[in-house]
Amino acid sequence: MRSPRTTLTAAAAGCVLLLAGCGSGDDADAPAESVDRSADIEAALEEGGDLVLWTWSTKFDRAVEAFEAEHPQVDVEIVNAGQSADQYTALQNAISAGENIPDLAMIEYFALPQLALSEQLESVNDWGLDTLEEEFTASSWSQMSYGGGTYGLPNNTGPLILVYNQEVFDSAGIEPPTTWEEYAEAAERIKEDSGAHITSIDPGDAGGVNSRIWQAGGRPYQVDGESVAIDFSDEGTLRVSEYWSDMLADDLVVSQPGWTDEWWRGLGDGTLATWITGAWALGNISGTLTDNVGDFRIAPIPVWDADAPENAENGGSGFSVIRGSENPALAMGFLEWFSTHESSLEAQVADGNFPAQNTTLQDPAYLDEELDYFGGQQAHRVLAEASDQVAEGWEYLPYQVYANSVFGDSVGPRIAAPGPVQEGLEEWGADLRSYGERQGFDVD
Amino acid sequence: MSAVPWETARGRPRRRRDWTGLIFFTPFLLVFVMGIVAPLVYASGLSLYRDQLIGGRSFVGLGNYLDALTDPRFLEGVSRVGLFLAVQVPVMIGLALLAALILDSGRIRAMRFMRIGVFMPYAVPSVVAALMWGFIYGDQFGLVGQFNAATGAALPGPLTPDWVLIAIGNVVTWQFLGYNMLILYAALRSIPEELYEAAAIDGAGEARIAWSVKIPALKPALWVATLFSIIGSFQLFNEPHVLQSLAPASISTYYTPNMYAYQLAFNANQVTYSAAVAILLGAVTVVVAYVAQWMTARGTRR
Repeated sequence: MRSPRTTLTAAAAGCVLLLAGCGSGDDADAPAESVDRSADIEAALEEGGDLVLWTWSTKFDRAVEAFEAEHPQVDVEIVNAGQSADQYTALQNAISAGENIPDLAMIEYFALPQLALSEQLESVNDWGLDTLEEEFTASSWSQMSYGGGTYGLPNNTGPLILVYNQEVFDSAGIEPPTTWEEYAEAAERIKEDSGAHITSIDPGDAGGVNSRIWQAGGRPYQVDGESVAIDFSDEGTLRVSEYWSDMLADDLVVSQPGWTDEWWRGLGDGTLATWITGAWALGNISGTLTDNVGDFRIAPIPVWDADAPENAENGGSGFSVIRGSENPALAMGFLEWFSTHESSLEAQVADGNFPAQNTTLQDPAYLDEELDYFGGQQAHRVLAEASDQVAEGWEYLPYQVYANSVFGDSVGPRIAAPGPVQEGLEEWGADLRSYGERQGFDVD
Repeated sequence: MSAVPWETARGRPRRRRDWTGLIFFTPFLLVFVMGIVAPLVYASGLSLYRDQLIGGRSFVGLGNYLDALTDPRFLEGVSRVGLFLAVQVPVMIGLALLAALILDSGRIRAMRFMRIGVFMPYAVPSVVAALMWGFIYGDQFGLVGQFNAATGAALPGPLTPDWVLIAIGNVVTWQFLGYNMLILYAALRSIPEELYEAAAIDGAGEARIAWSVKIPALKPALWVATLFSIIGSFQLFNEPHVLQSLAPASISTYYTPNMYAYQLAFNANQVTYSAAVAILLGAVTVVVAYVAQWMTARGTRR
């Protein structure tokens, strides 16, 4: 699977000098060669300098401080350049203007192919950091890779979990459901008991629906170099669209945009009994619903087949060095330390990050921690187990940022109305195909 | 502009040129060139190209304009703001006129308070206003939800697809009513007293004076207020953009032409197509404003 660390050969040196020509040839999926430049990185770290890091998350301040404490000659400035799509726009603008380009940025997995394809990110293969592959979960590593190269190092992942309100479940006399069939039954019991909806679906959130399709075995996006195939009619996708169309039609779930004031209040007061989300959500819920200490528990996500449980990921991101960084060697040095050093990982986890690093996921101290907010539950165990069960083979489109932005146009109204969700997915697919053609892809 | 002194100097003995006017004029010229002319020229240039993720930038001439003219999303947005304009602008100008006439009649108590009160929303930034109305419109925990819960009524959610355009119209009216009222009120204050005296001698009451003296005298001001509102309607962006996060299924990415241009530039990697859409929208606005002016002018002459 992984390419062996090679020494600095003449061919590889040429590859470094002609960055633009590497990994974008006809044979796009051939693994890029690894170039050992640890000496350069060491020298850059020793010499020091200034770095600018873009992230909208507040989970990394202490890890960066720890880096600076160990490398007093390096100064790292964290800049919030906007959340998600806003940041990618700002990044694209900075790169095309050739000014104020950050050295590093947090990149979500769904956006990585688009940014890698438009040559905004440095490949870690060119700096020998691809040898760190085994430090990270397989799924996170493959999501930082595109067309044979790896464009940064993974940081956090979002294997699906179920956050549920213990009191609402107790009142309805039910246990956390383990399959989607049980989940639908639980929804009915909760509805009868307290009138609450078991959960909400966000009509503007493509990520939530994508992760459910992934978990059900659907693989709607296939990418091979400049060819893409989009198909929302496979078995897994149909399973998801039918299930949620029924749940919506029976008023067992409600259509509601997430992350709004109304939505948080619904979660806080139990009118929404569960939240289907990624493992990163623990920090978000405990940081936002501060009055609800002890109300929530974490359960494994319900599965389609109890005999062969499969999970998927919702969100997650890594950090990449940006093309145009004035000091890529120093940026790579920071990236390596930040992504693998023990004190960095400890600080990140303490601030609520769910790591993509195997060392933390296997660390007994991490797994055994009893979280007060979740009633003393050893919730990290559930997360680590969820991470283990993530199914392989999922790919994002090389224009997923666009795809996600127009989800609300076509699928959204079918969730809100509600109508057949499948109809919305087909319309979304048609939009994505015509967009792909317009962008010069070979669309199947 | 600087050519004027040259012209007057032609054929005469060379005179000392007077640059004083230019000094006053330069700051405006600089801002105008940098803020209006340069971006317009740049955008026009951009609009002749096409960007692709695969293949980069290529010259397509007027291709983007031809695409936009048959783009159902652009056309849907334009017809939506057209509908908005046809309903919201008359309602808002009518209310502003009423408020200005009431203020001008001097027959109400706490006039200053009312004047400030009606004008106040204009001082609220439109993003903040949209956020605030977003909370009010909430049909579960917002004011609408609380009203329904308290009275057992079943008001429809203002952010549902059928109602959202009206909900946006309400926010815009709330915001700009005071601004338009002020334009009209200022015009009312400049009507000469003699007209009122003459009307009083003829035996006209307050209502008759309003109808036969005030409103005709307000025509130029009404026209200015209407023109600003027409332009504002075509530019509609902040309110739907902010409300979109609360109602992604009701407000699409191409809900108004400006939102579509924003979406194309910032999420769809199509800055060049976005430039063409923006320029076309500008052209549509100019045409509509011109037609409105022409109709008003014809009406006045008659």
